[in-house]
Amino acid sequence: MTQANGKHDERLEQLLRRWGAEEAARRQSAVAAPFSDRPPEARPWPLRRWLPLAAAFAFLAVGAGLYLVSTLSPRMGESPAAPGAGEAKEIRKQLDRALADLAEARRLLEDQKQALAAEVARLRQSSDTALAAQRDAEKKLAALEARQTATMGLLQQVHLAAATPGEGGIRALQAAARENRLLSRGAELRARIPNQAVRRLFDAQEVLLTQLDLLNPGNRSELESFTKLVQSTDLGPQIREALRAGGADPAVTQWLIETQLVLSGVKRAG
Amino acid sequence: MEPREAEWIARWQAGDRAAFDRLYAHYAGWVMAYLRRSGFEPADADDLAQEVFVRVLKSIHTFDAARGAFVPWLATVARNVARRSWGGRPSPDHLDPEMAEAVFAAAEDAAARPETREEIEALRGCIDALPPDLARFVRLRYVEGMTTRGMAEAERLPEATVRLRLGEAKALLEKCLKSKGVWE
Repeated sequence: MTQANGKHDERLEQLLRRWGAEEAARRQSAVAAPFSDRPPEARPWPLRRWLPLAAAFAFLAVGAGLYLVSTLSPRMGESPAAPGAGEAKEIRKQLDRALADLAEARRLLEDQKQALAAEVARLRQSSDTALAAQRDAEKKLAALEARQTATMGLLQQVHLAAATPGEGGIRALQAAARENRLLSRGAELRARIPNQAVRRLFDAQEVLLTQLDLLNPGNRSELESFTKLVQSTDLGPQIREALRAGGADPAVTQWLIETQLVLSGVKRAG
Repeated sequence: MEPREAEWIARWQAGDRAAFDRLYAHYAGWVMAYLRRSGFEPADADDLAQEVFVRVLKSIHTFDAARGAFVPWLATVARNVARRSWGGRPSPDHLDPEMAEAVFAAAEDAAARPETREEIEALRGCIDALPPDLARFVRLRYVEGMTTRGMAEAERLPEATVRLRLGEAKALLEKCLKSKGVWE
């Protein structure tokens, strides 16, 4: 049953990807410019690049038309050599029609302007999203660099602890794990591990870390049994393999490395 | 390779430019979709797609249908053009690079396995029948090629919520496909 579900999940993912790619290609196909083997600067601009210019030009043209009409109308009314009443009526009618046409053109342009403003807002929003993503990435990078510096400190602490075998060394490792908030960080990171294999490793490391935290280093038998437990569950190779596979959240990777570092110290100090 | 595609290529290699135009009409959308999912803005994607096909046009003599299908060859050209144009900029983390690659995988799959069409059509119907908000999540992920993190930012939601909603959508789609008899 689970196997069948897994198979369906996989197939659905494949179908969704293919459907999504087809949809994306169909959409892009509709807006693709006709092929031209001329260099980019010599190519005609596609419609969507012309549109804002065309709209601006049309707007200017209509404005000029309105101006002309508004300056012509009073002169026609005041003309001393006014044509006959029938002709004047006809001219008036034509003028009214022209004004109505212009009003319609102005309305269409207004619609076009609104559509363009919406497009600009959308583009601005997508550029804001990209900027926000970049800022987010920069923040993460800074956090990662800070953690790497902290790891170097932790490494020194672990080496010092290993140089003091027995109770003193274990106490130093407990202090190192607490200073680096390994347990509380682990609890925060748990939700960010979609990969089952990495999560299993994470859980196993967390169990050992909790035991280290609760361990009474003064109790010789407790210390010995904990050291044996750590030695018998060497997850180093599995962690290295999982990290090599990639895809894990950088903070999770960092946590696994630091935890492994502390536990390797236990093997030497215990 | 689809028979018509093979025919277009053969005619094009024999000097028929109209055959190339048909090939362009067929594949320009796929190339542009790849470029958009790689992070290029629409106008740049347009220009780069033209550049891809200019290169394809110039190097057609190097394409040998007996040695491989056309789509992977086209994909290689597109990847090179995209990489060179993107330069040293960091990849946009709101877009999933796997989804960009999925475009060419889908183009190849469409040519190689037309029998999947029935499933795709059923899936399309199921997506249209989804509640609009779930359908939007599916489109952002699978049509726009966004990461769940990018979707979370665009929708101003926690990433976990986005994952949850995608999971809900997939469960409904699976149920729908079963009810249509596509799956048992």
